[in-house]
Amino acid sequence: MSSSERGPISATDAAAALQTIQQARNAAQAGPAPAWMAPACAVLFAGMQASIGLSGPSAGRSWVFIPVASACAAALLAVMARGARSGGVVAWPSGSVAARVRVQGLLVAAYALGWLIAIPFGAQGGWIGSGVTLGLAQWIAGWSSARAQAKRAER
Amino acid sequence: MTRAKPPVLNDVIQHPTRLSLMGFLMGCAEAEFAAVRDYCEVSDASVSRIVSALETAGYVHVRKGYVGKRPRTWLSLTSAGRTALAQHVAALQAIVDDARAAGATIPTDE
Repeated sequence: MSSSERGPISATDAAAALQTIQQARNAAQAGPAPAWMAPACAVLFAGMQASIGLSGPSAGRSWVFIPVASACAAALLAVMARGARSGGVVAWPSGSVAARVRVQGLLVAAYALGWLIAIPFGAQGGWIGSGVTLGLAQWIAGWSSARAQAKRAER
Repeated sequence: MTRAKPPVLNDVIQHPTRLSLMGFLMGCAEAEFAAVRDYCEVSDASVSRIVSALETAGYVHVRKGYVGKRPRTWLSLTSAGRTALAQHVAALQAIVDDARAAGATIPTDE
């Protein structure tokens, strides 16, 4: 490694270099998370779960919903893959580990909460209910994360 | 105030464009060549030259791949690159801190 003792650079230049690095880091971290991603994931997940619920053996013409559930699952994967590499940048997960665990915990809680619908309405209701609650929670989490990214980019 | 071992600047990454590139890669796990080029606002050839130098120094990892049938190049910082940039930032910060301690007025970067 080639290094030089400090001296050839002024304090003003050093401050400018620090600013350059910080701006570059922020630009990569703020990586454009498409606005459509959160609602798309939410709707596709809810659609997939609801279709699984409606394809149960007790439902009439249930076979219709199997390809719908498969299509939703495939589209969900494609959307997530597209979002993860949006703008040609694979971003680090944002926020602290504790904050990320909190968000994931809330998503799991929303999913579990949705399954409470299974008590009065059976498994079909559980699939649909959990799809809707988790989809909604994903939407809110995605929106909140996009807002945090935008704030960080402003700095 | 004297320091036992003053932090040193790294000549390999001192150039502003190299700093931008390293800083950008520091902020993400991996970035496409085009995304880095667009951020640094330089030509493909310039990015290639810089990446080649940083790769030789062991600071940048280059991965070739395909998206569909289109060839793509992905860039990421190696752990040596992250360490080098962190040390360089520490050295820059030390220069700024020393100047401030000596009473100099420096345009704020915060």
